Amino acid sequence: MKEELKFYLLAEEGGWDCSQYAFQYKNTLFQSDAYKVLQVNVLQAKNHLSKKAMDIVKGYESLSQEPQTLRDVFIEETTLNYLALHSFPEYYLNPLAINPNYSGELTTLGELIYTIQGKDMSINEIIADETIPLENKKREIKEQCDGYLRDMNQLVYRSLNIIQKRAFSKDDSKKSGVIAILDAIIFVVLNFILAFLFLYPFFPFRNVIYHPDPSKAMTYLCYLEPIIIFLYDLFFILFHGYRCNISEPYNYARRFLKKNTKRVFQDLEKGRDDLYNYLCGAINNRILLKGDIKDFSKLSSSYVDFDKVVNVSELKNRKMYRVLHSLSVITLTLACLISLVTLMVYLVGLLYQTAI
Amino acid sequence: MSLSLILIFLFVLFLIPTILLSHNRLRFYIACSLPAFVMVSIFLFLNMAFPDLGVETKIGKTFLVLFSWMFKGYEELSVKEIYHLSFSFFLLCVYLLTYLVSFLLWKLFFIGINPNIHKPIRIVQKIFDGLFFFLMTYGFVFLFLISIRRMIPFPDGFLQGLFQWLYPLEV
Repeated sequence: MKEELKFYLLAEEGGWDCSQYAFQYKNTLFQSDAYKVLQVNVLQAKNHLSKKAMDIVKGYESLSQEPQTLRDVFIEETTLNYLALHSFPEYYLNPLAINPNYSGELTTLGELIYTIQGKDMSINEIIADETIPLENKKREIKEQCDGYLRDMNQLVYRSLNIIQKRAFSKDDSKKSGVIAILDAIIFVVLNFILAFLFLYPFFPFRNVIYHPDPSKAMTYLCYLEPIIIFLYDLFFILFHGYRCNISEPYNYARRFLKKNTKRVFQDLEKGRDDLYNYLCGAINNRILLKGDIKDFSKLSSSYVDFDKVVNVSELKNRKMYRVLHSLSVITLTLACLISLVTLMVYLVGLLYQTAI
Repeated sequence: MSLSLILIFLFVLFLIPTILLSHNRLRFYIACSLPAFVMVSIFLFLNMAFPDLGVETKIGKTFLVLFSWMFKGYEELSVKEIYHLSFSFFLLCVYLLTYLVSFLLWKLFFIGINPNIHKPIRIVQKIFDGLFFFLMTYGFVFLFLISIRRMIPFPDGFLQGLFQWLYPLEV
């Protein structure tokens, strides 16, 4: 903050109205280099599943574009500078939650920055430093590793909450399960009706197939019904097949987490222990770390892709999903109508033993 | 419209899930349909390998009471053909019931493999699993429709030769 503005801030604290200076300074604040750096870094932070990254994103989103007083400006400017500095991956990356396909600037855990004895230092600097006692280094590493584990545990709890619902439903699992069963029953019933109409030996109906009579409703229905049912089957299968394909990581995670929750937590604890032992080993032997940024990732290991679990709601926004869903609903409606009409005409014809 | 065309349509309908379904889902459906396929295959094997046992006739006769309402209007069917149709519907019921029981059991226990790992190998595995799935689902439907084609009000079509080879109809 400029010296002049500090003077007006003091005046404002004394009771003077200096809001015009706040309005004037607003643009300077949001056109500053710090804000530009933050804007760029936040895009990368949004893709990382750690509490620190989410805090950076939340802090950025809560920056007020309309500070009313110089006090607000001072707080905004301090917050902005803090966020801009800490929005670099070195400050927020969780080694347990790194995407296995990560290809950012960091290549080693040694570049991660911790605050130790009031100073921000990278792990490699901590390893090389001879003034900081070994116990202090290990205590800081342990605190950070515990923080990483807490992060991952939160992610698992969040995932356990999310998987209570099926992949594409807004409602709870039981209701959407009932709807899915109903969907399947309707599919079977409509195809059964089609099979019944053509297999049951009602010869007036069969006669209009061999000798179409334009004056009989059955003539049109016996051609329309199979065409519409085939279209319904086609779009039903396409929609459910596509849906199954895109939601498989989520569905697998759902099945796995429901039956192996304890195992997942134990695996995360083991990951934390392995990371701690690795970093302590490097500190004890003064070995600088290289090329190991993804070695401890638990995000998409042999267990669960938490990224796909947390972002499952994005699947419904895909264009192909919406198109296929619409087509399957349209053909379902048509198939139900045509089956109902055909069945009624067929049964009336069966009753009077004639083609209607 | 002919039975051959219907089987081509069904070929397309069964091919779509074979290609689209995820690997885990394919394995799930294979696990569900395998016992059903095996049960049906056992009956067919006994029928073909031991004709003296008269499996088709005995089972067809026993279960005719369940399916006779479907054959009432077909006056031109011989007794042997009626038993054959009854046997075919019996196999359909065995397939569906066994499939349903397997489905409910596997629904409780099946987890699958993480779809994000071992992707290159899984592509090859998926091709073989797709073939298995197709064989055990469309294969059964294909044979069933051929064996009941007396009831279907459409001509055999261009695959008549194949149908006659698999199950010759009496003139």
